Amino acid sequence: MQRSMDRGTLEVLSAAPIPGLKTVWDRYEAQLPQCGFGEAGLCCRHCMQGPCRISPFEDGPQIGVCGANADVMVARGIMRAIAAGTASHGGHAKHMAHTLLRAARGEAPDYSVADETKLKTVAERLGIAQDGKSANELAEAVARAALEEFSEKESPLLWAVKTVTEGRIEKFRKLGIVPTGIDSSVAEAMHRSTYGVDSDPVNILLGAVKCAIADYTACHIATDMADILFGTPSPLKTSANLGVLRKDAVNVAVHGHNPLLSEMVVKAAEAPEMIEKARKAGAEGGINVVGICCTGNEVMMRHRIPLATSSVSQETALMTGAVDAMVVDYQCVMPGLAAISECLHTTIVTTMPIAKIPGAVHVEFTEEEALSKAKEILEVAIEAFQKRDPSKVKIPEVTSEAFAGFSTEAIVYALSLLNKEDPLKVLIDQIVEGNIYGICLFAGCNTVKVPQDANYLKMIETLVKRNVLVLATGCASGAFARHGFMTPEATKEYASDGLKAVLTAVGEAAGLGGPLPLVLHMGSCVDNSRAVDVAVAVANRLGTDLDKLPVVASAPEPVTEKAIAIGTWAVASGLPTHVGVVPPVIGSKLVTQVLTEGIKDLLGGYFIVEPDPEKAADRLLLAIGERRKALGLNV
Amino acid sequence: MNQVFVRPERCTGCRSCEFACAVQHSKDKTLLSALLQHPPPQKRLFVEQTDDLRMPILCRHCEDAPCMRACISGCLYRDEKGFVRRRKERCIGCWSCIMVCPFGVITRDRYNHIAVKCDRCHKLDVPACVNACPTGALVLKEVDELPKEKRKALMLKAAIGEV
Amino acid sequence: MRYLILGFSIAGVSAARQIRHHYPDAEISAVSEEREVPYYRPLIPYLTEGREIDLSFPDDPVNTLGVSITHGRVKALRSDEKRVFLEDGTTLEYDRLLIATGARPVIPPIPGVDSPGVFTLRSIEDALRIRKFSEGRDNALVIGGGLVGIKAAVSLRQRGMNVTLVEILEEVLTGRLDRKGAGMIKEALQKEGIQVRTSETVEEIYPGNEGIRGAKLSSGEINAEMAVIATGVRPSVDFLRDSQVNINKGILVAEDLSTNVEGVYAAGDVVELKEPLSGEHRVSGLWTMAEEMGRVAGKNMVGQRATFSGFLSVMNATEILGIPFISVGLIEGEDLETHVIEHPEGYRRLLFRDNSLVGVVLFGDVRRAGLYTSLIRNQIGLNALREKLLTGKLTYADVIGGGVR
Repeated sequence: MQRSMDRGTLEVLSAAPIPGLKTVWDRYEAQLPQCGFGEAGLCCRHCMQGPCRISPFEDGPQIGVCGANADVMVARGIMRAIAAGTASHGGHAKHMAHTLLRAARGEAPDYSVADETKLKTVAERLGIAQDGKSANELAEAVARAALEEFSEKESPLLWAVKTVTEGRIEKFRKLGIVPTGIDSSVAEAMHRSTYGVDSDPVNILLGAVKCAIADYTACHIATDMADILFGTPSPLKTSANLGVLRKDAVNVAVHGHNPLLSEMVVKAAEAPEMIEKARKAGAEGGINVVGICCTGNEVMMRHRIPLATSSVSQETALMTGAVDAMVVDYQCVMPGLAAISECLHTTIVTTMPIAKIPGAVHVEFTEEEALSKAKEILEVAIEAFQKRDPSKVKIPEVTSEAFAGFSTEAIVYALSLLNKEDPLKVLIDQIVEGNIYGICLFAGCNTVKVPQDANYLKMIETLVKRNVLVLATGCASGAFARHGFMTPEATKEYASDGLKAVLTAVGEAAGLGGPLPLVLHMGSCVDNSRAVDVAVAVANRLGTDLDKLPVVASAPEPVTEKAIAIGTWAVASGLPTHVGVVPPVIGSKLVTQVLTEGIKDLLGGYFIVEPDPEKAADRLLLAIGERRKALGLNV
Repeated sequence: MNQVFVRPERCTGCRSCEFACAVQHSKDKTLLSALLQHPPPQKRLFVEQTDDLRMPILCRHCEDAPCMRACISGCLYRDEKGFVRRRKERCIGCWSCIMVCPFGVITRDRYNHIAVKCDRCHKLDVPACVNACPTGALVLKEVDELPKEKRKALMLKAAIGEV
Repeated sequence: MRYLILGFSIAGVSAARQIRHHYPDAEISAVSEEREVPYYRPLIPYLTEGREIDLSFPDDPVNTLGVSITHGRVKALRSDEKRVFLEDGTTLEYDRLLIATGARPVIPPIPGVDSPGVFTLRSIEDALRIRKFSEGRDNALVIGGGLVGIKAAVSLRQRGMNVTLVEILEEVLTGRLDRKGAGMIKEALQKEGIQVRTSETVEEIYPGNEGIRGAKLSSGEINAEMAVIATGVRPSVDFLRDSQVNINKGILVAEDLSTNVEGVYAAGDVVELKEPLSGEHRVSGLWTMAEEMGRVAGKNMVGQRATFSGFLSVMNATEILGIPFISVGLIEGEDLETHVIEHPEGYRRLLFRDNSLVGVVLFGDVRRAGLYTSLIRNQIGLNALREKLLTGKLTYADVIGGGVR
């Protein structure tokens, strides 16, 4: 099978300077064919009387040892996946909230409030009194409020109820799925799905949605904290793909998720003494920090750090022979990196006490000594650079221009240039006119199960021809960035007339001298919350709810449990949500039916499972059309 | 001719072979369609366990195949590759083959009232079960190393319905 | 060497395959009363029913094996001259002879049994005659509740007729199925709309204008325009009455399937031999046995040594009205340790003697029946397998145990 549609990735895979290195694609092929029970979600290891498997065909056991049938097994499995996703986003968010708290108290001197406006907005939203408080005092109060969201409270999660529409909250309340703690939701999901607890598949699924709403809360906290500490992104121009690596510089790839680390690496790399050290070591170009995966998105949209590649192809960056250090925190960091780095001069630097890799150098990163730790890491990189063998370096000459940083605030600001009093009206009018047929948020990953980016490329082509405004986050934005879709040129080339006109009008008003890029980059995967903010603002402005808007979401190439959690909260938010890889639920007809149809009656959103990207785009257009029709808009 | 060999000491009882077999014998041969198909596709091999052994039990395509001999409707036959297969349209569901298969690997399709057995995935180079086995408990081996003479004799036997 | 085979159904065909295998140039001839041979005789009830079904052997043994067939009925054997005489006057000579003439229906001595409209069901011709005669007729009487009688009754019922099935014994399928299963089959037949009358005799058949008009049963009279006699078969050995060949009910053979006369072998339904499990002399009437016997006889006729062992007079597999069942070996016996294990789809009846399995009935679920058959025919010592048998968990993995090949 073709492995990727990305020229940079393909070039490295076909002609790496050191041949024979095994990547994620080789490991995937070695796994084939994969276990059908697992694919269908029909195996359970929740107790030691198992493992149990249920045959989806008639000639095998139809219930596990405990009596759980396929529906229960699949529902419990999906709930646990969502709990894992929530735990990940929760860990990320909590890490940020702790840091904001320490920064506010002066305990983490390298961090400070970078965006007071955002801080105030968040505080106001939460109902925190601001009068007379200094920025640090306010930050401390916001950080404490955030930290309170984790353990179980007697009241609903603030970041959940304060950031969505009234209508959503009402629906959640009716279904009894308003979470009161992020970590406690994870714990509850684990409890419910353990041996002999919740055995009603529909009840389990509701529990799973509740946990997913906690995940949304965590994502939103992570976004807010990042903006407060490092600034709310605004549009900027950078570049993407493996060509951003440089022969003449110490190449440091930041990989993982949390900007707490990558921000400091970027800052340290700007320090004159570090640049000097690099030069002395022979790197005339100094230090070149590049991004991979979501932390790459974070520094791309705030510091123009170029994006080297996305998660699935993380190993290809190393295989160029040009990366001296890959600095990682957590999530989506493949253990397989270590095996590749062993064959190269590259040092993998792990930084988090909860995420170590044998074969990597561990420099424990602390908020208290953040910058000095970052410098220590760069020294590791400079040292590794000296071992770099120029004859074993082959950097693909592939880069694309990319505009990044379209936060909610940035989008609203751009719209306000056309209508100062009522910026959202600009967007709403265009939707009503049909110049924007609908909005599609692309999120999620790249998967080995699809040629990297193939689904994104096919789908966007269809959607923008039908005037769909495309937003993207995480590795979805990585895909579009690497293929040049986050440029005004792409708008000119691919957008149909209505969409092109809108993007041009806004872009010109914003002083870009041309249209907005075809894909608006909203950030990392936790920043999917930004897209909800946009939709909520529109819904509130119209006095309606999210499940009435012609807004859809798509994860065409999802991988992680986090993606399952995000997909589920997108559905809970009322969005028709496409997934391009068949999730491990098809072993249960009931669960599949509930997630793709039944849930529509409860929450308005629903899953569209469609591996064929062309059909998927058509189905999303149909979903948008259905909503437009219900709103009385032209279809 | 190549044969499927079983190495029970490698079998973990994961049933991947059974799953792959059922999918391979479904209409579209994909997991999704197999799961949606009704009546569901049937597997043709069986992972069994004793106190000290786990292993897939599958059709050996016996040289002296009792099922073929017992067939009272001309359904079972040996194909040109040496595999014992069904002429599906001839099966009348008498279960004589089930009665005599000493391995117990022929089953009933209770919807269509016909016997179901391994066809060695005759259209594939590697049978689905072998391909699915993650531990090498099922392996495909050429047995063409047989002396030419013996092979000739075998082919003659096949021609007269002996094999 | 001239090989002559009397009867060319499965026993004759499988013998011919052996002969041809060993002697590509041998002269093989056969005599058959039926023009259609060889064909899958067990399928003839489907012809009666009217189903489109191909009964021929797909590999066309007559031509591929090069057998010259003479159609006719054998009148006599003169083994001293090594000659066979047919009723039409033809004389055939042989060096080796296989008698595989099969069996003929038994016609019970009921007044009126020779009326037009009274049929047997043994050949393609019979089946087609019944089918033709049933057209436009509404009521049929089937005499005999064995497998043939039941299949005849079901096929006529499928044709839309009112069918009465009369069985002299208390249950249908006696000897082929235990009472429990027989009772369940009877129930299924009745549910299908077939009148099943057990412990009943037919005392007289009333001839009518075309066919019959009814019959007198022990319990009263019934209307019927046709009748099918299915009261069993007996070996076709009449032509041997004046020969040297030893006959009891059937031809008595040694384990190499030779008769007492040199150069003369017998195989299939015409044979009578000792069943090791019961210790009694029996006639088989089973396709599988005939196929095996033909093979063994054929090998011996060409000088290969082969013996026929594990003879069973009960080894039946079938499905009646959606209920599958398989019976093998001794299925009833007061002196046998008998277990009946019920399950949602039916039951398993297991009969043990000492350390071995001597009989089984798998009713409703016939999975892995061959394992049981193999244990019975080969009289394998059970030991630990007994428990697996009783729980129904026996698989081939248990049979090979630790000693995997």
